[in-house]
Amino acid sequence: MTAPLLKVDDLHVRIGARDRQVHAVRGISFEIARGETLSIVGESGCGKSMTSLAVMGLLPRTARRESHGISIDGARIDGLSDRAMSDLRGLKLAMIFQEPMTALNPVYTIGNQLEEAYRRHNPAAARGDARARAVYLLEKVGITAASERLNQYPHQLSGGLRQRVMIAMALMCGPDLIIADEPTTALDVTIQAQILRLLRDLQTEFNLSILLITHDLGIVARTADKVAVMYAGEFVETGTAREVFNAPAHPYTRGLLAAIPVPGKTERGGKLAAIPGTVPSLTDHLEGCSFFGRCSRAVPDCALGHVALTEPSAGRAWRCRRPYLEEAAHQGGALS
Amino acid sequence: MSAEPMIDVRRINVTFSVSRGFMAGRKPLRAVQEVDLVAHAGETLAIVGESGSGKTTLANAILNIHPPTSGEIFLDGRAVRSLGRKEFARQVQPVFQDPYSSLNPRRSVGATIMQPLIVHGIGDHVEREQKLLRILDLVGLPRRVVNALPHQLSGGQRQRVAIARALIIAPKLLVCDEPTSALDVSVQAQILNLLQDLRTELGLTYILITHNLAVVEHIASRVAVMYLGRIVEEASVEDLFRAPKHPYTIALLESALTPDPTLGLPDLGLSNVFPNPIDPPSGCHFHPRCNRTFAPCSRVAPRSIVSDGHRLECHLYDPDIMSAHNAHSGDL
Ligand SMILES: Nc1ncnc2c1ncn2[C@@H]1O[C@H](COP(=O)(O)OP(=O)(O)O)[C@@H](O)[C@H]1O
Ligand SMILES: Nc1ncnc2c1ncn2[C@@H]1O[C@H](COP(=O)(O)OP(=O)(O)O)[C@@H](O)[C@H]1O
Ligand code: SF4
Ligand SMILES: [Mg+2]
Ligand SMILES: [Mg+2]
Repeated sequence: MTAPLLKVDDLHVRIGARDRQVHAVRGISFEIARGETLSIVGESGCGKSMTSLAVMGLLPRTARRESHGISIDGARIDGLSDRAMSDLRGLKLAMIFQEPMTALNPVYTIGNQLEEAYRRHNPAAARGDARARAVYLLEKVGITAASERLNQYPHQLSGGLRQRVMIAMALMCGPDLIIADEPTTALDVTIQAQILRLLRDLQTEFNLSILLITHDLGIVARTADKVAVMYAGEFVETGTAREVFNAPAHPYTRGLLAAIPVPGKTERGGKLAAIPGTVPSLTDHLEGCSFFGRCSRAVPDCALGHVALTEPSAGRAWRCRRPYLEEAAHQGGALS
Repeated sequence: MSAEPMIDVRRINVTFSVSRGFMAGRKPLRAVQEVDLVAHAGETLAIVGESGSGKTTLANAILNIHPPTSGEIFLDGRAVRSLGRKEFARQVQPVFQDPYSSLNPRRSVGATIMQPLIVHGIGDHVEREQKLLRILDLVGLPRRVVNALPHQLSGGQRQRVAIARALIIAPKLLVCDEPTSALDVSVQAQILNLLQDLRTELGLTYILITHNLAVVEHIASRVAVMYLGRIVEEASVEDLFRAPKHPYTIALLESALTPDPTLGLPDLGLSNVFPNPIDPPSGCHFHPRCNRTFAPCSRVAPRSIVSDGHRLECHLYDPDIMSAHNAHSGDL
């Protein structure tokens, strides 16, 4: 076996001063192989963005990262200086944000920004090379009349086109890993479907690894190879997409799946299974299971100690004392 | 037909005059075009469509916040133009997407919910308090939140406050503009359940604007699909989900990504062009993106075809256009 492209071991992110510290990411570990998509899914505030920023080395100044190692292609990157990390971004790993304007500068043309992204890592390259690559990639991401677009400013493009430009920009230096944090959340559903297909096609063509962060279970099911369900800073369930969707073991995963109406499956007009209560505060030390208090299967024991990860096979795991196991084995797809 | 529809929208247009930039003068933007729409009592009528298609403008016209430029809206058989503002507001209330921006940050929950009673001069102090407590129970808010400020509540609780405020004067029709779009799915489920319960308990009629087709299928009875200001298809929810006809509706339904890992991503086959609402495409507004466009589409605007309560604007379903096209397609 070759080393995974990305390996993250026991990542913690803490934000703010010691007395009112938010422990936003609480010891998560994962690997992504070359050409593979791992999707981290969870509700707002569970720590998805902090996870992606921690890997990119782009955490806010008030945040601190600790881990037992983050490596790309077997080489540790968590000890790198800001300078070295900045050299790596774009070249090895690149990020796609929800709002393209966080990555695009409104006062420069699309062409300027794409070429600059290239020349930063290829200072010796001729201007023509950068331009040729920009046109090539704009065409790849489905932008017609690409060479004319180079002279346009970001605000002259629709949201869907801007997102395509950001994808092209992320690809300028041929990275191995793309981290996409809610890349289609701000887009209309038809555009979303087209952008997700584009990412998938580019992944196949360039053998990209993708870390896809989303709150949308539909996107996860349709795009991910592997899934990690995140709750209150922890992974509460991981597995292949089929394992997690067809036989969810953790009550939170089941709760999420039962909460969304699914045309043709959910009884029309029937009651949806809402998850009662709210997420725990991440400023506190969490004793017991973080889902205790909202969980319909909880027993008093669940509030005690630390709930260990059960890992029946490599990559398949859950953090629960009363997982749905019997049902999982017999259920084969149909969620009730 | 038996009773008057609760709301009857007849050929309304809403046109804005927009500036095209420095020194470029102003141009009309037809945000809502020739819209006909009816909702009967007890019904949930959903309006779907991408951003900029005119959903909020239509909602604001129905809410009398920005009355139509032309056309007429009837509430229970009476022209809205002829009703006083307060008389109208007592029967029709809005619920917006982001309760945080629609609630006054410095006004307590109790005062927020009771405010419409004061505006409409309903009840005395004691009666208002009683109504407040009753409505809190109805929308599932604990009584202890009456003194809280909006920022002290969760997103779901804030949306309950907005719903309570809309319901306290006992309106007949709620116009909900993306009521759950800003919420997490577990909270969305609570609010959808609440809206369903309130509809049966209070006999409410809803106009529900959403971009989430799964939500439409779950709680609506009829659905209208908007594209660039026009309703391009309208049908019962059963019909539309079983047999969508308009190429845009078909793309929308395929884009609703259900959580099934055996299904991949749809190939919509739509072109990647984005029309300018100030200068919409000729003929069918959808033709530059449509995957089935043919000769007449860029030349003639499709007319409205109705059969069995299923209405749509697409040449593919217009027998006259199709037979003329088939007859002439040899020499085109
Ligand atoms: N700049 C910040 N200062 C303090 N807390 C923050 C900051 N950014 C995020 N948080 C907190 O960290 C937690 C995780 O946030 P985030 O990773 O953005 O969640 P997600 O992306 O899953 O919605 C949340 O509880 C959030 O409130
Ligand atoms: N007050 C306004 N002035 C000018 N144009 C507007 C105004 N409100 C909306 N529009 C335009 O009308 C069209 C429809 O907008 P809107 O009704 O908000 O769509 P939706 O709610 O479906 O996203 C858009 O092109 C929008 O830019
Ligand atoms: S009228 Fe033509 S362009 Fe418009 S939706 Fe129908 S087939 Fe497509
Ligand atoms: Mg986030
Ligand atoms: Mg709107």
